[in-house]
Amino acid sequence: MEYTNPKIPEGINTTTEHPLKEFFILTAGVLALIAIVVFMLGLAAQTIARKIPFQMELELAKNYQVEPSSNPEIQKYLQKLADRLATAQGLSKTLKTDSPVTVHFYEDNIINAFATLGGNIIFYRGMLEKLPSENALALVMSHEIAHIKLRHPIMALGRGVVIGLAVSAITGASGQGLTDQILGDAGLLTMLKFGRDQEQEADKTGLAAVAKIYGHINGTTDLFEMFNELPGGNQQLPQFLSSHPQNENRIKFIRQYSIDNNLATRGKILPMPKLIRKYLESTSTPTPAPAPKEKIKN
Amino acid sequence: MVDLIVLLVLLALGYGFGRYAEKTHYRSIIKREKLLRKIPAIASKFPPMYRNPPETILVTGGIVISVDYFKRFVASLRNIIGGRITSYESLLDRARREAILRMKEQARDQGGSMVFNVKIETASISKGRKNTIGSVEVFAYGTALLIKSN
Repeated sequence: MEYTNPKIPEGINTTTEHPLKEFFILTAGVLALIAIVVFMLGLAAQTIARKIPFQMELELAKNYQVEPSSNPEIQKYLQKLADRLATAQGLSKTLKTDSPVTVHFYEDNIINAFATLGGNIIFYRGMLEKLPSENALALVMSHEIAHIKLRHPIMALGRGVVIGLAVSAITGASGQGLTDQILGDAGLLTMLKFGRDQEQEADKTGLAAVAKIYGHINGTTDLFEMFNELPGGNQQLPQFLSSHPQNENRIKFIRQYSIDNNLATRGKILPMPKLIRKYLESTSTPTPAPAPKEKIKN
Repeated sequence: MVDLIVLLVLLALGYGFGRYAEKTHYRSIIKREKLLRKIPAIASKFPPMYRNPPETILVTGGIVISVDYFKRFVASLRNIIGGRITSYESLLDRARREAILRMKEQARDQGGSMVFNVKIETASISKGRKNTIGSVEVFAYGTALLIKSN
């Protein structure tokens, strides 16, 4: 009598599916999962960060060093304007503090102005040079104050820190170093990233405050219109506008908002104060990319 | 970025070599199984009844097989979601069949006609060093019957 083992059929204990198929499905699935989790964490952090009292934000911002403003006279003027706008926005009541906004003025030719932690607003000479009137300046300032009122800087910081931590936990990078880097980067002298919705919110709040002070909003959108007319269009947008809604949409939005809220669109446009005009003339230097000065009408 | 490139290179290497090794191994397994079918391996504890009790010897077959980077990566993704770790299934299938084949080859070389009471053991070599070594030993053993042809 003879015994034999039969032939074993293949593909019962193993799979006949191609291994790369499983690899791609799994990788895509896990990456999507991670992306969703990180996004949700960021959103949650942003919501919680908004509840942090402004006093605590001030304490936090103390850790970052602030360079003294390079021109105290201009700084004083901008601070005065900011205080007026802050009062119009009811800032001290919302944030429960006496002097919530601090303006810093730097003589760099960067076309930028931004709000950051601890109610600090950074204003550059380049921005000042581009602004055609006090009304336009007021809108830029009011927009930045609105960011502070709406707690956008601390929200951006909270989101940045939590997303950074989550990413470092997943990728296994040294968590401590990364958090330090984020906290350092998100410091006073760097710009925080705000969402498009946040920019629009700030435009609304800012515009209402300008209307309250001047009685109208005439001249406020001159800045955006001017950039719109620049040859080359959006390619050479200055930093200040690159993160913001497109100029055209922004002008439309502001017009619509003023119609909806019965804000007066006609009124006297105030020229830039003598102090600033004198300062700009005395310090004007030929820049590598000359600004189209003929388009600035005082 | 560098980390990502290193990862992709390792994955490609693991996939290429692992896939090649698996294909050639399976080809050899199927060929040798056909040759050794005449020496059956059965799990029964008791040999068939014979008038004269035959001579018996212990036969063994062992193999240590290592996982490649690609298989390990896919398995670690599976660990998050759950489900069949198919990349390890084929690896262990190869190891088990190879161990039985080696046991049968030992029996054949010593004049055995069949192996009964076959048992399979596995031992993980990676114990305590989870991320550096990922290999497994499969060991098959049984009792071979040496029956004179008449």
